[in-house]
Amino acid sequence: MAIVYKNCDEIVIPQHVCDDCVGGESGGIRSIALIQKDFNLTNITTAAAWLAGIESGDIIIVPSTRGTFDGGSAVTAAGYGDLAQVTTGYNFTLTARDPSYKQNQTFWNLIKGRKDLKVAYRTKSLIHISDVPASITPTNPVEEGLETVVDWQVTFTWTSANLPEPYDATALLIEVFSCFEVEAEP
Amino acid sequence: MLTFSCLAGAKFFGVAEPIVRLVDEGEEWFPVVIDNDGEDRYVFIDDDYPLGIYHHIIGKTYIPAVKNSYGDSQAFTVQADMKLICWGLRNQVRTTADRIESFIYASLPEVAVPVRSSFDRSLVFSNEFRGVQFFLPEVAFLFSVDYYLKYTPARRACIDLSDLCVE
Repeated sequence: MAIVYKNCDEIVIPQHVCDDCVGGESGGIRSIALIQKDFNLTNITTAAAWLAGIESGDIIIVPSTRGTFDGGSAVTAAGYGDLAQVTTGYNFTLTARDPSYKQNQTFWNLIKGRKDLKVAYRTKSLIHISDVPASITPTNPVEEGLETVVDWQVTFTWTSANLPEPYDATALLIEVFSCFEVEAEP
Repeated sequence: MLTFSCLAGAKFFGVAEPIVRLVDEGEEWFPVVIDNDGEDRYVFIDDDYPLGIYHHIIGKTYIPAVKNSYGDSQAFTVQADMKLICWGLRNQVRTTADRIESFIYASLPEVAVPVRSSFDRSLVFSNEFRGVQFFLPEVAFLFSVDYYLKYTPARRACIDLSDLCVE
């Protein structure tokens, strides 16, 4: 009788990609977008797909921001066998500051109640999207000092097993993250 | 007490620049206000006015304002270093240069931050009139106030080029 050792299904891990000619991605949360979780953003790197979402009201663009993304803090569970613990996911925190202050009180006040919005954030040339809806907490603190700026400081938090995936933001797509108004059909 | 009456008739010339005149002894520099047609106007002591004030733009420093930067643009704060020159005729204003300077300090708008004053008539004169022999009469006072203006310049996307030139 043969002995068969049981294993989990093998996870195929692609090769690590190295390229000495590629510069690093420049940081800063330069723009954010709020995306209705059921909206089918099929071709994520094309401007047309984003514009369709904007026109249907499923995507809201906040074009000019600054902020940080913490990259996620690990959620772990006790391990078995030789592993003391295993990583089961991450708690992510994104903060973005919106300088369009006075006219957006109603916007941020109402957005905080939405539980169906994923958040996308743009670094210099890449767009990343949370794969689950985020909890949204806007605040408007006033800092000391005559030269400080009062802006909306918005915190997005979500929990996921996956790290956000970066997508190329083409020049045309970056234009979508601009200051514009969506006019109602006459 | 310093009142507005002693400043009645004061002349505010605006921003002056130095121009040069060639004389036998070499170059003589003096401050004028130049209009858009290239015509210049003398801004220094004149019996028609009891007191005169003009300014120089010394230069600007652009300081990155990381905390004010949003989107892809780097915001800057501009510090424009300025010099205010004030001259007056004591027999007409009936007060001292020091009190006039205190009044100017108190009257500066919030955006203007004073740095230092100089009441050395000879030094201020020689800076304004390079190559010119000192000619201030005793009845005239002269002082300068260094100050700077700190402000956030308009973003490029927000500048209307049609407003750039005065027709």
